[in-house]
Amino acid sequence: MTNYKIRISDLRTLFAEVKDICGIDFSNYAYFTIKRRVEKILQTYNYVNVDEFIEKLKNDERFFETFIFEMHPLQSELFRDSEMWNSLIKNVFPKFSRKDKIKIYVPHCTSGDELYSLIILLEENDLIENSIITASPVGKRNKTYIENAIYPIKKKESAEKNLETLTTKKTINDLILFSNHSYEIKEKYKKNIIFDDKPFLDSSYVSEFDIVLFRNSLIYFNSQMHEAALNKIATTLKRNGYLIIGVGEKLIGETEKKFKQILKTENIFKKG
Amino acid sequence: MKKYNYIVIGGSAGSFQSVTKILESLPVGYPLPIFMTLHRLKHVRTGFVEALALKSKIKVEEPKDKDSFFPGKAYLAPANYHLCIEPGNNFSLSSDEAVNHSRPAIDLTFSSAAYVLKDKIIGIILSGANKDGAEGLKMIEQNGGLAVVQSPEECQVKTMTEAAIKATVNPEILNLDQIIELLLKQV
Repeated sequence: MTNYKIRISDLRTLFAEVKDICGIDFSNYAYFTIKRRVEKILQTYNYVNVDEFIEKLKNDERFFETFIFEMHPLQSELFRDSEMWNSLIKNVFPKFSRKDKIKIYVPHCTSGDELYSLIILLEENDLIENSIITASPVGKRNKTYIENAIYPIKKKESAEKNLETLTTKKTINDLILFSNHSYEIKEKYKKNIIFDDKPFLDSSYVSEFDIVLFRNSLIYFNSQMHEAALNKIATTLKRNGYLIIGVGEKLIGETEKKFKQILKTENIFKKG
Repeated sequence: MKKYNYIVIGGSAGSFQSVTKILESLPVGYPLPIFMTLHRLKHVRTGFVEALALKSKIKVEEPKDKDSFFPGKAYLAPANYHLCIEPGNNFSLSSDEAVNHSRPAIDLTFSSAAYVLKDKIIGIILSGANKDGAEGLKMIEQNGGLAVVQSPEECQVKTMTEAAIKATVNPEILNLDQIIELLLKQV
């Protein structure tokens, strides 16, 4: 918990400046969560005066990238919600064969956990060679983080726990290399990825992708951006393409009419 | 006596029986929305809310992100997400880092409820094994809500309730039957 409490007017000023610099509009994020994160960053870097913090952001590109990086949590894990991944293996992968070219989109990437979970399972199911995965990181530092694919060792326990209930023959040692305080995804899984540096809301893909993996990003947006993001994603998907969102997330507004849920228990949808 | 409009309850998995007793003691149509954040296994998505609902006379559910909340329902923070109250009287979920080694964290539910619902809340801390909830209960008290702590003598594990008592200025320290009585008096 943070001790510093930011005023609403300061938060608005900060978000307007950030939008001017990079186009990301944090005023469209879920209010309490984003406010708390700003307060945590101000406390971490010892800023009491928000104007001084804004000046630093404007004049120090590296600090700005750090700010964007820390505004987006890296708290996913390999195979989070293993039931969803099992469902993907059982219900979606069989719709594709090795002859198909499978185009997959992973927008708004932060840590790469979701991206590598997907690639590992595509590889095990003999689909990686004919898949092209477009990943759009939320910022430059996130891109580097995902490319490096080095994670703190404390996340290993979650990955192992998830593997216990996953339909896979892989063990944790098949997937990652260990060092003292971290682990790294093996090189063989860092392939067939195209990084798109544009924010996903500015992308121009139309009916491009067979699968969009978009889990636990919508929870950070307010209702307006949530719906706008889903509308954008719907445009990028081919007809009958698959959309996967987080288990705690839902379709809202007009987007409910654009998709059909293929299983009640998992948030896997098919574009109508 | 001042009456309140919302109830927020925090505890660890060991408080399951206390929460069950609270829910089965409230009548059908009990109007105050109840928000519950109980520490739970992050890898087990199902079973908890179903078990709580078994004896409850009011509907118990795990909200999705951006669901609105309504009178007469109890809401349980889902596994592996923080549950927050947002302006506009709806929920947000978050995958932010664990707070007090917990996701869901009681502190986040309580502090967001304090921020949004101000003096309209009763915050209740039950039995638990770490200090999660103490800061959140303090914020509820500072925003004019009522801070209630289950009597530590009644708790299997006292850490959470003792931390909550220490963090607050004037908490109501009540046993479970008195907590239920307090909730029944709100209508």
